[in-house]
Amino acid sequence: MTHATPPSTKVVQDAIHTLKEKVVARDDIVKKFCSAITQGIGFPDISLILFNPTDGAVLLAHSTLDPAWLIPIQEREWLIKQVQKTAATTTSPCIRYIADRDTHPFTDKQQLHDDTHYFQFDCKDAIYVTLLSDDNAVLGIAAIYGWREQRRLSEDPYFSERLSLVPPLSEATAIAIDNLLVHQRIEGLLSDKRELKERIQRDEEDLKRRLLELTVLYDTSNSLGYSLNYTQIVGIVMDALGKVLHFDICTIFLLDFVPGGEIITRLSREIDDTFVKSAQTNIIAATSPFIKRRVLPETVKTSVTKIEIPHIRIENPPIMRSFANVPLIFKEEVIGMLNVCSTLRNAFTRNEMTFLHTMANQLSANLGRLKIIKRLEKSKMDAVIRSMTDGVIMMDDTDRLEIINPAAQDMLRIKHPSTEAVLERLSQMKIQTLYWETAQSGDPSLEQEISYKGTYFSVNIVPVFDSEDSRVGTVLVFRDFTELHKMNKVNSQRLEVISKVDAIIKSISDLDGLLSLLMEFIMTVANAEMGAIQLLNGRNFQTRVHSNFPDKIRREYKFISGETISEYTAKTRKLCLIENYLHNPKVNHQVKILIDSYLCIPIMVKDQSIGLLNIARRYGTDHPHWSQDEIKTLTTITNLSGTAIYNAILYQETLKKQKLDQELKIANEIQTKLLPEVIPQLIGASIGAISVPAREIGGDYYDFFELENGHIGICIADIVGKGVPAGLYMAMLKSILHTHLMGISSPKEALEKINLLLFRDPVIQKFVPLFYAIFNPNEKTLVYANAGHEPAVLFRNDHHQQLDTEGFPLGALAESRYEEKTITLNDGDTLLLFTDGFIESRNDKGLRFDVDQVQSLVTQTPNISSTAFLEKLYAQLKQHLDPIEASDDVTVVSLRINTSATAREESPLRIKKIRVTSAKRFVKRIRLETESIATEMGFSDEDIFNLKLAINEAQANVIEHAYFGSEKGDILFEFRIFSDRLEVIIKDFGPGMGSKTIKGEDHLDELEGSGLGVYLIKTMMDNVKYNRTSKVGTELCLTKYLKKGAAHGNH
Amino acid sequence: MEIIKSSVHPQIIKVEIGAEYNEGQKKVVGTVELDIENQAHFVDVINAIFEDGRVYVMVDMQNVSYIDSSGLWALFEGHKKAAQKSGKLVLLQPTKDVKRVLDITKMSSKIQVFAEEKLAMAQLINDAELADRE
Repeated sequence: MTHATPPSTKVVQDAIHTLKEKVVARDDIVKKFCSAITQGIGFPDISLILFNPTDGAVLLAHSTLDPAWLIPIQEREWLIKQVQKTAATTTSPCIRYIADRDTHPFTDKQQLHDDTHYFQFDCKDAIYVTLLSDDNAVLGIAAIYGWREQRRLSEDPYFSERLSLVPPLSEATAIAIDNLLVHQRIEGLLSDKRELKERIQRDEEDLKRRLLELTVLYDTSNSLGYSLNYTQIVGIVMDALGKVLHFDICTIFLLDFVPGGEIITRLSREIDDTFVKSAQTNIIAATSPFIKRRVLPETVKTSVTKIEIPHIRIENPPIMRSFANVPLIFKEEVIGMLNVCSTLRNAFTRNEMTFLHTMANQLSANLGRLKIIKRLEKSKMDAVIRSMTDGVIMMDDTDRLEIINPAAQDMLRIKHPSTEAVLERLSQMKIQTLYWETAQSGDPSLEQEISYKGTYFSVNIVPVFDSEDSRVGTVLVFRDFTELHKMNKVNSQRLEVISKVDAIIKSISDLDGLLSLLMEFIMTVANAEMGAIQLLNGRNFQTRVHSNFPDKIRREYKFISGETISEYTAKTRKLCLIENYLHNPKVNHQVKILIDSYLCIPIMVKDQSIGLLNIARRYGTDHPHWSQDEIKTLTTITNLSGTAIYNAILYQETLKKQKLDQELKIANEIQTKLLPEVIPQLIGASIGAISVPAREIGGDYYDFFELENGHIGICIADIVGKGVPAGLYMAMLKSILHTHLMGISSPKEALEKINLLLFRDPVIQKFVPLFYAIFNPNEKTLVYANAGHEPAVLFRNDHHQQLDTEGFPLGALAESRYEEKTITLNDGDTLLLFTDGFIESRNDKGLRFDVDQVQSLVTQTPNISSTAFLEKLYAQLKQHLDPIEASDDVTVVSLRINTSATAREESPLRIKKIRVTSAKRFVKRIRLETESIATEMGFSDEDIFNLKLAINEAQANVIEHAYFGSEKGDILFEFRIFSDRLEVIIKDFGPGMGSKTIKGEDHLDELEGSGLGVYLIKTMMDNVKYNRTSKVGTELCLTKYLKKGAAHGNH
Repeated sequence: MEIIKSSVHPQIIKVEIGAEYNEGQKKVVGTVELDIENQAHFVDVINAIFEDGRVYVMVDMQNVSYIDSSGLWALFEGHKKAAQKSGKLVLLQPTKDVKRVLDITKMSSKIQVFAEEKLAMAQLINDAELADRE
């Protein structure tokens, strides 16, 4: 123990200053305080406990002793209690000097006892210091003692001095602690503020993200609600995820939309393909545990889209440090998987994961909804499509089979429908390319005709679009038109047949040729062994052509009633088909040739059956029956044939008629040429002749012969036969007569000679009835002989007599003898020679145009010439028999005796006949001829010009209108020269109509061409008369009178 | 029949008809009968004139001793074609008989007939000038 040193005020003061002025850390406060007590004030030991003023918890305990001596809890509590008792009165630290702890009530006696023992000292005195805060909270308690020095504190000389320094130090320490507390509180507040700020910032970010999430969610669910396309839905969800999450790959695996599954991948940066592949493999692996069925990775359809961010480079290969798999669940069923990966560590926060889940749910819900809708639609559509008779196949936008209806399965023969099966079939049917093209182009291809294994389809391939014009699939509709095709084929076959028949019709105009060709053709088409075509002839059907089916055999096939099958068909006018002939109870079985089928078709034309087609197939052939198609074809052919046959018949008739017409024309021409051109002109008598050929020309012939002594031979004959042959005989007869009659003056001799010639003639093997008379104009005597012809009739006054002699027709017997008679004719007598056509003429009432009628006409017209008389007679005959449909020619020759002056005037002084062809070059010849005659007759120059012009115009008219410009026609000009006039008769034999052109018009505009000619004829001539005495040709009679005072020429 | 054409004026063609062409006189001589047999030749000549674009024609008829309806028709056709082309065809010095036929058929009321060539020329030149003025 050292001597006590005085306290160091300076140390204490420094300590107080430091404690008061500066914020000192708690440890430093404790050190400062304790060192100030021990080293400054100079007390040996101190023990200190600091409390938390708020809750009284011990903050720190310090002691200069080792081991530390801590103020016993009992004493601590007492001291704190004392402070609370005096709190209201004092603010300074509570300093207590306890001189005798042994007696002090607060002392822990046990502790004191232990301490005394420990320190080997009584430890009776100590100073207790209580450090109080401003608000009297106990900051700490300190105990100061001198146990280590084993002396009482009070025993120190400087004790009081020392004690007095404790309060200011304690106060400063309390202040320091207080300051520290305040400081610490401020520090705490500041730190709280910082924390708050950070939290707000965090919250804000959180909110922002939440807002984004919500917005995206809202938008997404809106968009999803409108979409019915799963790829679109996936796209929308991926877009949404991309806005919120920072993924590098987003992969969605869908199980149900594409058979086999589909993986849709989106990359938000450039990523190696192998990595994408591994992501796809991973997602399949991740999904597999959730689903019952097996997923075959090779059948999974994959598609990858990229968000183009070209400038970001990435470590290669990338390492995915974050990833999340979210299963897509709809109605407790896993329908797919959603996966996001990122190269960043902890890329997805808890919130983001929540968002991811929400989106996954949305995706699931919408895809599920879509599935249901599709399933509903499909079932509806299924129901409709199933019931369709057309084959319907629906492919979706990914060309997978969606629907195939039973009809399509049936048509395409697909037992187990699948995309592959359908596509394969389409390829076999060669329409797969068409399908792809249609799907690609979006343009439907309609009514494609294809055939597959004997079946014919019309296929429509139509792409289907949704409201946004994106293709949602393709519909294929198959229509089986095999039947139709067959019908078309049959029809085309039939058309072929028809065209053949048509060709036959066109190529063959003769009926027999047509029929045999038709027969042959029908036999081939019908594949028949027997056939016959019957045509209506009168009332019966006559077999015109047959093949192994003569009437004798055909007529054996009949009904039990005896009616033949063709008779029955003719009666019913309906097709009659007998099949299984032998087993048909209705028909006769007593037949020579066994047949199986017999088909009889009426050949109809305009509801009239004009014939019958019979065909039969023999018994025991491969195809005994005809099919319906065959029968149809045969019916068509028969119908066509009907028309053809009918046309051929008509054609034949027309040909016949044409031939007749032609013959008539030729015969007419022959006859006209053979008949005399010039009728002898006599003084005191007139001869006339009229010959009207019938439609079919006959052999009527008459002729005149100018014999010696001015005698006139008159003959009339009737050659048996018609047409051209008769004409030829007539020509021969004419030449014989003209050669031999000239020198014979006796009719008897003449007939006998001609008879012999004809009898011996090797060509004319015919009898020719002929009447021959020789007239002596001077004595008016007539010698006549008849060779079997109609007798002549002489009309004298009011009666008539026949002039006839015995004798056979010429050429009948070699030694025929003829007699001749002579009669003297009186003035007024009329002799008529005629062929049998004249007297046999009957009108429709059966009345005879008899001689009495002729008689009355003779009596009525005593002074007219023979020609005029015959004209009247003919007119009467026409009227009497109108319309003339005479089957025979009418030929009449007349001889009238009239010595009066009137009659003489009626007779032309001279007749000149000129025959030319219708060549234009003869126009000039006739002009010259006219000029010559007119000049001779004494016509004036002007009239000569007029006559030339008129006659020329008439000639031109004939050339143009009767012969239509042909040069081969004949024109006969007969110039009849009378004392007072010139009559010109212009006769043609052409088919043209002359009558129209004669009417003429006065207007110049209408006088162009032939009209002008007619006008000129009428103007230039005094009289113009038109005759049509025969059926062929026209006769025009022009008359020009000599002007009075003009010279009478040579006559 | 010989027919010659000559340009008597820049716009006027004169057609002369005769039996033959006389080299010495440089003209057609001899009478001619214009009828059905030869009218086609005349029509060809007239048509050729129109095809050349000449539309003022005078036909000298003094050698035509006879004319029939086809000859008249040929003249009338020539007249109509000339009129269609805004030209004119006139006849010059027809013989008495021909003139009579022209009158009978009233053809002379349609086609102008001149007794003198000068008058015909004057008429045609006048017509041509009038046409040019339009």
